[in-house]
Amino acid sequence: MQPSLFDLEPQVFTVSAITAYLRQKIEADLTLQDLWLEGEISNWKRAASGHIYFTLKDSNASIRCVIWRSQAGRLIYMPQQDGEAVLAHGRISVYEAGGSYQLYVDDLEPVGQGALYAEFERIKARLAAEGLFEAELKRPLPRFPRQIGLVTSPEGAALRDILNVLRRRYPIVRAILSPTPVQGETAPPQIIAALEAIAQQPVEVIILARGGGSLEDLWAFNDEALARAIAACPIPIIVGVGHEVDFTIADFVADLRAPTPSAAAELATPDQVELRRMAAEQQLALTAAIQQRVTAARTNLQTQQRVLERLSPQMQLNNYRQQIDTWVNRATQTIQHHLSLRRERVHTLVAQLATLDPKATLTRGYAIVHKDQTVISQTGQVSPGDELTIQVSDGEFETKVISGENQ
Amino acid sequence: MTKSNQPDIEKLAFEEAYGRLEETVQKLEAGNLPLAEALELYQLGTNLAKHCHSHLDQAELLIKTLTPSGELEDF
Repeated sequence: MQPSLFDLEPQVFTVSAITAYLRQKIEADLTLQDLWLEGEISNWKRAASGHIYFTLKDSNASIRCVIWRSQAGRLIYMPQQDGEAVLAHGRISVYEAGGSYQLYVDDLEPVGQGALYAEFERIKARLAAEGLFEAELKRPLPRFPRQIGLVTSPEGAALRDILNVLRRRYPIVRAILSPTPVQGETAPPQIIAALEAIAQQPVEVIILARGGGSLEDLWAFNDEALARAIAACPIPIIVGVGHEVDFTIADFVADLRAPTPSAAAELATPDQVELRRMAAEQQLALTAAIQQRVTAARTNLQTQQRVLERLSPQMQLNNYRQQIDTWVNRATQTIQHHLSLRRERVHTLVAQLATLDPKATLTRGYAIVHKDQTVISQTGQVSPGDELTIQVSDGEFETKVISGENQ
Repeated sequence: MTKSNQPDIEKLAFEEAYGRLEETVQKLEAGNLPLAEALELYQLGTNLAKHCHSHLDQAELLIKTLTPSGELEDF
């Protein structure tokens, strides 16, 4: 592969070929494939993809580094600013497209704190194995806390931030501070005592908080006894320690982990702006419901009113009137029916009578003798000289009795 | 719902008033109430909503400090 001065024609490589060759060389070197590199961080940048790019440098040299997103999620330590001294573990290889070699980082520690990290991992693993971080242990937070316990330093920025958030979001709440140092070797038992003291108060939620700081500054919140005290506390606890990137054991065991103290205060309380909006919505719902109810009542009333009108005495009277008319009609018809029956009967009788009329016999020559309107049928009824009227078929005439005698 | 519930509103803490407000709205929305009762609920709900607002308007964060002897002091 080495081009020789004695070759007639020098060997020509492509850029790709020589880059691949360099990469192969570097990746074949075991020292470069597993190494800890100490240096200062500069140009720390997290890309939108989640990968992190930075440069490690010392006074004379620098090397580009990359942490893939998948690795970045697993790091317990994240540098806060350029200039931090770190120990980076990884392998060196070539980024062919960029023509540069770089360190592919899979672990990152702050210089001089390796022991602390090991301790952190040890405590975390033990408590996790005991189940102290289980989701079932997390207690729900009150929706509208009346009293909030604050366990933090009375002088710290954390308290100031929390109080600002409470004032802004939910000034109704009563805050009770259980003051405690939050830093140093003696802090953990004091934090525990402060927690136990506030748990005696009628608070519904506790915020355990501390502002940002170095790993050592926040170390008290990795204390195992404190973790157990948090788990044992009968009141739900929100832990807000340091910044978004800082994780402590207290965070894992808390009922709710907040990225910062301010965020803890926000998670602990409803926002009054939202509450006012919700109250206004309830009021609207109330108005809509009562309007609906009144409309329903009105409709119902109208229905009942119509029913009532149907049942009114006026209506009843009209009904009776109509009923009476009906009866009268029927009675009239019945009577007329009877009358016509009788009329027919009379006609029949008249016809029969006609056949019996004595005048009919007069036409055959008989005559009816009257004396002063009385019909004479016996001799004894008349005396000689009496004037009689003789009725025949076409009229009558006068006569006088000459004599008569009984046969 | 009795009339005597109404004067109590002034004494309710925010969360109680708000809880009752939600309850009142639900009851009213459920319907089937006699009109008089519905109107009374409406009045109650309106008063509760007013009370919630006035709570928020008047609130000033109260801060106490727990002393080592377990007493509460002004912060």
